[in-house]
Amino acid sequence: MLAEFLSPLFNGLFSAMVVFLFATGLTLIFGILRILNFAHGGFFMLGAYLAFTLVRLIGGDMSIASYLLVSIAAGIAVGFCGLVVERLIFRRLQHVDEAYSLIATYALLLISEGAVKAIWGVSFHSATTPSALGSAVVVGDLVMPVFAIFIIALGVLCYAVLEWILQHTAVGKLMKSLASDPWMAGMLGINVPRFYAWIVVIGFFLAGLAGGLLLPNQTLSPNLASVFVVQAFGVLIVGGMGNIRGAFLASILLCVIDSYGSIVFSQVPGIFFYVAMAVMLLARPQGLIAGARL
Amino acid sequence: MSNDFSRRQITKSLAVFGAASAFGSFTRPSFAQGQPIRLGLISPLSGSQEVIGRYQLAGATIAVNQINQAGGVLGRKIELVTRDDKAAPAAGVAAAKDLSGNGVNLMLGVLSSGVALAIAPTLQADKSVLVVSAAAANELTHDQFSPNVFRTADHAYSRQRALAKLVAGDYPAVSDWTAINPQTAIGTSNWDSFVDGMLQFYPELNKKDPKITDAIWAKFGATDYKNDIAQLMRSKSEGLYCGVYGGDAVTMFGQAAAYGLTKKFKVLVDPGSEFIIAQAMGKNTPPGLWSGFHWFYGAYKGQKINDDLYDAYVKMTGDKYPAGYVGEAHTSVLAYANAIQKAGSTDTDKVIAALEGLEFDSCKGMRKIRKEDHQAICDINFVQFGPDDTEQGWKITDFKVIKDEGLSEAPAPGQPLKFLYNKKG
Amino acid sequence: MTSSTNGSTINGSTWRRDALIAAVALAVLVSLPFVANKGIVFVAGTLALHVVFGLSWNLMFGQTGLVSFGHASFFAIGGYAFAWTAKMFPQLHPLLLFAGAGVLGALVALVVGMIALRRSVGVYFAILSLALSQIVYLLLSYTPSLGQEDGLTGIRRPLLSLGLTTIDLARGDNYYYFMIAMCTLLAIGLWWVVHGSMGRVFKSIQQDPERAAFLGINVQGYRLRSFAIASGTTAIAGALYGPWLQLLTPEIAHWTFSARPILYTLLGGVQSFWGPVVGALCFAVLEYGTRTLHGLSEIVVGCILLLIVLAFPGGLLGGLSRLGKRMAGKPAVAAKPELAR
Repeated sequence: MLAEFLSPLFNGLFSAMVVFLFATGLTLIFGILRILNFAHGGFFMLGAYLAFTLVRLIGGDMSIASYLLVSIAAGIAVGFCGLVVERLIFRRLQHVDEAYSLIATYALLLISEGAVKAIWGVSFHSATTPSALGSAVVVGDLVMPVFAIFIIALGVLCYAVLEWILQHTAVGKLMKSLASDPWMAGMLGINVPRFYAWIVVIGFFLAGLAGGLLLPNQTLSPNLASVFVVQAFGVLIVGGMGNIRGAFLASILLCVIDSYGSIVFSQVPGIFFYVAMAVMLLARPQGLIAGARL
Repeated sequence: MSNDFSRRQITKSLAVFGAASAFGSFTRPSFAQGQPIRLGLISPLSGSQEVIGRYQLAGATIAVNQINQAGGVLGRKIELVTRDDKAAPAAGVAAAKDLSGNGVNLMLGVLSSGVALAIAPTLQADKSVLVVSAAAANELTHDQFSPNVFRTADHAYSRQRALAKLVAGDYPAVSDWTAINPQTAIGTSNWDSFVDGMLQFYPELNKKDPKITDAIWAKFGATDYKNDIAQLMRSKSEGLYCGVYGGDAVTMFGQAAAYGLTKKFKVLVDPGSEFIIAQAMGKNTPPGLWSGFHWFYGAYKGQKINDDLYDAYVKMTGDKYPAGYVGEAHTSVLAYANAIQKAGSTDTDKVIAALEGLEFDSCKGMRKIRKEDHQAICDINFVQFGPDDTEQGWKITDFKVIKDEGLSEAPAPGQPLKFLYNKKG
Repeated sequence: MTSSTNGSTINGSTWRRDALIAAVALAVLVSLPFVANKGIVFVAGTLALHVVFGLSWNLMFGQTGLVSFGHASFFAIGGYAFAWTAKMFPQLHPLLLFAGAGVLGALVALVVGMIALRRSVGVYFAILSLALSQIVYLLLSYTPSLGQEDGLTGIRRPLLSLGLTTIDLARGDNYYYFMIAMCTLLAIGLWWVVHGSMGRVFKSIQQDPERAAFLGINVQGYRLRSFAIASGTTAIAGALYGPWLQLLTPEIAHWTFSARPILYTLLGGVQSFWGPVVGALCFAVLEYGTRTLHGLSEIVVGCILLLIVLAFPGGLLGGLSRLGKRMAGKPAVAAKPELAR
């Protein structure tokens, strides 16, 4: 009995943290640069493949520490890609409307898919969960995989760290001021272009990191690039215009509703995420956390 | 959608070969003696199904090379012209139009049922023929029958009933079955066909009725199966029909490991992921999983066509595990070669007449194309996988060949398929 | 070229120039079946539908600043509505069905727009439309009577009775010509909306919605109108697509298809009426040109798109006209198109 009520909640929370981890980098770049990065999924996928290769190179059974280190390494590598993308593309497009960067990011998505195919081929791969996280906690008839608990904890931690940086550090305050008024920030002597470059690098780093962290949960194939993108756009906007706290709340709300919805209406699985999304946007047109940037 | 699975990378030389042969095809055809006979391969050579397209390209290429080395057909060489359908109906129709516009009237390949169903009605006006090498939808030889379409591979109904016959015979103690299926047309039709087979073969072989528990329906391409797995863990059934296939099956089994799903069920079957699950999961391969195959080379060792194809494939790609799609594309080329020889012409109508009722040898033995509905009657192959301690991490533990004796339905072109036993389907 | 609609009145030169371009395009399309093979004719027919799809999206975006990420759902609504009714009621006149599909698309847009446009604008409306289109997509792929993700198969090209004569659209290139004729009519309709009195109001909304509202223009009402017109037009294009392909799959409601008109418009240029046409043509040429580059097509298409957008950041047409002016020795105008609101 317990499981029937609680397992959709638990699984919904897990999906929510998956989507949130995916969406953090997207949210950051959108919140400050106003660029809706179609290619985010492509670089998430690149991070996952890089982490997969590192895991293979290390060989043997993966410990939690090496799993985390591998993910961070993948994040750094993808962050470097972000630097290149910022220099070669975003910076050149900063004088035209943000909408035009949409084609550039669409082109990047295609290129990242092509690159993954050229390097890793088109077949499916999957990585093992680190054995320390491979078991499950059983309460009554409710089964909770340790890996899922770990991801939920990571999602909350990731949120807490970002929130702390934004609210309590000088960098965070700078980011917020830049998000709401870049012109004013420029007047105050901040090197805006360099700051933008850092934001892109961090956004890409978060994409690569998420790719590594979610590696044991997802099948690797060149289709991975477009798996989470629409849901991530959803939480980004339902949360309120690139607001990290909003995105966190929105991903929990939408994923838990979808989890229960897919159980109750099993003939139309996955539809309730979008129903909830539409209802939320109509009920709170400016997003969950309106007004606040980041 | 047919079965969308995959396997190891095929070498780049293959892609280059495909591109080269495609580029060589822009000139208008000439039907003078000695000019090559051009066969068009329509296959997903980019996009989400590219991995299968590469198998089809390899199989068709090998068949063409073999035939040419043996002197060609009617004294003419065969040339393969490849076109990408991206596993998308519109791109498939564009590919077929492009081929017929360039004078290539004989086509083969097609993985996705959606693409096959889109191309089928356009063929008659364009005076072309399509020999389907994979797309398994029953409609193709039923409601959506076209006189210009043939299928040399097995179809959903016969494959899933063969699977039911296998488990009903080998696992008499397992009488209670359930499933996790993708909420798609092929997912529904596969499961209905399997149930149809269970309702026939289980009582026939074991003198009692099976129990079929309602299936769990998952979103196609879902990223998270935990809710579905949790529901399956509460199920009382002993046999699990894992209708989610290909990459989805890898995701599902990967997430199910922590729950102990594979230990809970006594028998696990899969409609047709072939090597995909084992190759992606390695040491985590679900033990004892039976997977449907278009063609399994190991089952026909010692037969010349099979062995030659296998050797040529390994030599060409360096890959030791050809998926069934290799064999089925190879077979479609052989069907054309036989039919053209028999007709003495590449004329569309004459080739169609020759294909009807054609009996020919292939990598999995003799096949016969039924005259009425253009469906080939052929063997159906299954392979059982398990984890292993080697570097590879998995091994083949068993395989089965099921002869199509009473598996396929009676031909009924133009009419919907009627299930024999499963009244719900 | 950047300012074909700046004057907002149908001045003689704009009219003549656009009519000339349209005449040349039409002449090419009409003569195509005589000079090119079936493959190219099929690509051209599909391109004509995509052009209408792109033009109608730009009616919302370029004219009233409304961004929709779910435009493909109207293409699908029109397509499925036509195919399903044509199958269930074969006695109905096909022109009536095409019109009906358009009216249905416009009505759905009116209802959605009345609720949604009052509440949300800008990127919120864009994402709302994305959510709604995902719902349409999933419902289409789950509904057994619509063929689930295999789609509706065996859609016939109808007989077109025109009083005195009856044309069998299934024969030869008849359906192609019918489609070209319909698409031309739809495109002329859109041109007329853009350049007529409604277009003038649209333009003022696009340039400054607050000022327009201050001047007493019902901004919401006009946005709703552009949304309904664009959706109705797209629904007719979708209805035409069914018999063309003789099959419809839920893919035409997918968000990747919704991205198409956006990409066409941005690639071609928002400011010009012809922007989406150029963008769609560019995509069709790229796709046709890379169709035999197995395994490389994504990278090639991606790189070319990237080069185009870096070379002509404001769209091809704007960029080319600046280039032309520079070559002619005129001072370049620094154009910074303002789009997002």
